[in-house]
Amino acid sequence: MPARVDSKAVLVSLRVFQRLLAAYPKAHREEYGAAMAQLFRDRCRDAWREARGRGLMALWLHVLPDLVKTSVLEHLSALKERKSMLERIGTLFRPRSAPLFVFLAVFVAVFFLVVTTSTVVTFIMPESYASTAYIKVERDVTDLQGMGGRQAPPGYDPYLIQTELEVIQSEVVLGRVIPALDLNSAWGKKYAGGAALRTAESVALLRARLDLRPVRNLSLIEIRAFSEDRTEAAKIANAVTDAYRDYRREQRRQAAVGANVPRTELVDRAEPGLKPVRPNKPLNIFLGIVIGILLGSAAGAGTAGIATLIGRKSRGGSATPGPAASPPPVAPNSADGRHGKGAMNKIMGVLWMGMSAALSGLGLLALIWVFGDAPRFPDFLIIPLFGIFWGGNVFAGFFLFRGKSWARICVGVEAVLLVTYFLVTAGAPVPRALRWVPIAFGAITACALLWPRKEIATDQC
Amino acid sequence: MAPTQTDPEDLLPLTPAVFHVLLALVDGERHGYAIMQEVAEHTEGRMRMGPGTLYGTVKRLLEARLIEESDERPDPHLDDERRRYYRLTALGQRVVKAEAIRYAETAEVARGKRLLGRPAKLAHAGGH
Repeated sequence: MPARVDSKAVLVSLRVFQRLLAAYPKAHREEYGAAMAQLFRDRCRDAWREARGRGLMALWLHVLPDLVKTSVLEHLSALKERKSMLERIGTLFRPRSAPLFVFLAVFVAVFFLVVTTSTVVTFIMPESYASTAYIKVERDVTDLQGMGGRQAPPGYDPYLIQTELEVIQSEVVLGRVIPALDLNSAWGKKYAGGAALRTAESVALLRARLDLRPVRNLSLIEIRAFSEDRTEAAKIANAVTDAYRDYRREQRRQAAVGANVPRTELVDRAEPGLKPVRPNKPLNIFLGIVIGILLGSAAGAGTAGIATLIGRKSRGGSATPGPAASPPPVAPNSADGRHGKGAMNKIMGVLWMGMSAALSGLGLLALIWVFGDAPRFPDFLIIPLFGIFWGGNVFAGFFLFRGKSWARICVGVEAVLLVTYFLVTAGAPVPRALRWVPIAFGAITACALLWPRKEIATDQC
Repeated sequence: MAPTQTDPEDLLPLTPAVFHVLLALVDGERHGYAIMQEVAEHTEGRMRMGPGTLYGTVKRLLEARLIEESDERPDPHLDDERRRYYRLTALGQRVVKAEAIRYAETAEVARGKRLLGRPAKLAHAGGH
């Protein structure tokens, strides 16, 4: 039979349809793509023969919804066929597995999870630089003896130094630094989405960034300032030093003779630091390794114990398994009909509860540690949300343990809360990268729990 | 090892698409386009299966071992391109028959309730 010549409209339609086949899963496309295109071409020819352009239009109106619907169905079907993440892990925890093997598998999984999390958190934390200025503070020894009688001897005076440390951190001194460096607007841009901070807020923030220490046995005070910007750290340290010295100078000018206002002298100005001092990456990673070992050991031991118990129970009820029978055909109307609870649910449930608690706690601690001192830190929102997130995960793990599909409801509620948290903290002084942390935890949880699996009862398609 | 005997009743009820594709193959092996035409003819044009629905159904029927693929060959009525032909398996024969009986029994109930007047109208569906 000679090859027939198709009209241009048919050829174009066929080409478009062939492109649209990309909507199907690869395996389905490779198996049936050519046959589907062939069938479509035959129907195009029929439509063209019957009503030309109108026929093709009607065909497309029929084929497009069919394509959308069936491509989604094929993707869902492909997902169900794929071995779920939980099942893959679950194969490691079968009761017949040796306890040592179970312990090692869980230990390695938890260890890597914790170490990876601590490393990621360490690297997404903003780097902080420190700059230090030194100032000498001494009791004033005037030539004229006051009317008050005895005068304190010059030299190191721990009480004086302690008093001056408090004076430097007072609002009287720090309040002068804010306008000098225009910190209300600079930090407003950085932490409050552009709106200028109030002076009290800036002072609180400034105080949190200062570390004042006396130098042992000397009349020197070390004024150390921290900032993500190395230049800003040096400016802050110098500005605080200048503000304190100006304050004392003014007092000396205004004070009566013999009022005994301390003398101040600048010893060393602050210079921008070369290397960040926070986060301490080696220390954080080391701590992550230590916590990973502890958590991994605990989770591994617990899981191995549970697996052994389950193994004993299941061996007690059944004799030696017979030869495997060929699996029955799957009903053409449903993707998979198997229901039931498995030992894997229990192990994964326990494991998930432990890991969720650990990870949520770590996330919360990281947030509070880094941003707890910042003004407008929405701890009233974050702490309850983390609590709910943690509780949700524990409940999800519990339901997973019981083989209930309610675990999915917990995850759904968590997802809503996490999105709310993300939206509400949009203008809060939390860096964007860190705001994604709980979202990432939520997403990982959702993926693990919502991934199609056969162990938890699911509705048939 | 002998294959596991599957009760056709376990696979019932069938969806309309599955049932019509199986019915189309009762008379012999067919390729996709011929199946689609046969289904359209059976249903007087009310059911025209799109390529996605047809091959999705074919895939599931193959997985369920209700149909099997026979040799590829060209259809002399259409063109010289090779086409994939499908035919019912023994299990598929039993399943489609069981479903047809189920339909017939349902029709009998409807007839008893005077919902259906002419019995001959449904006779073609079961083939018996």
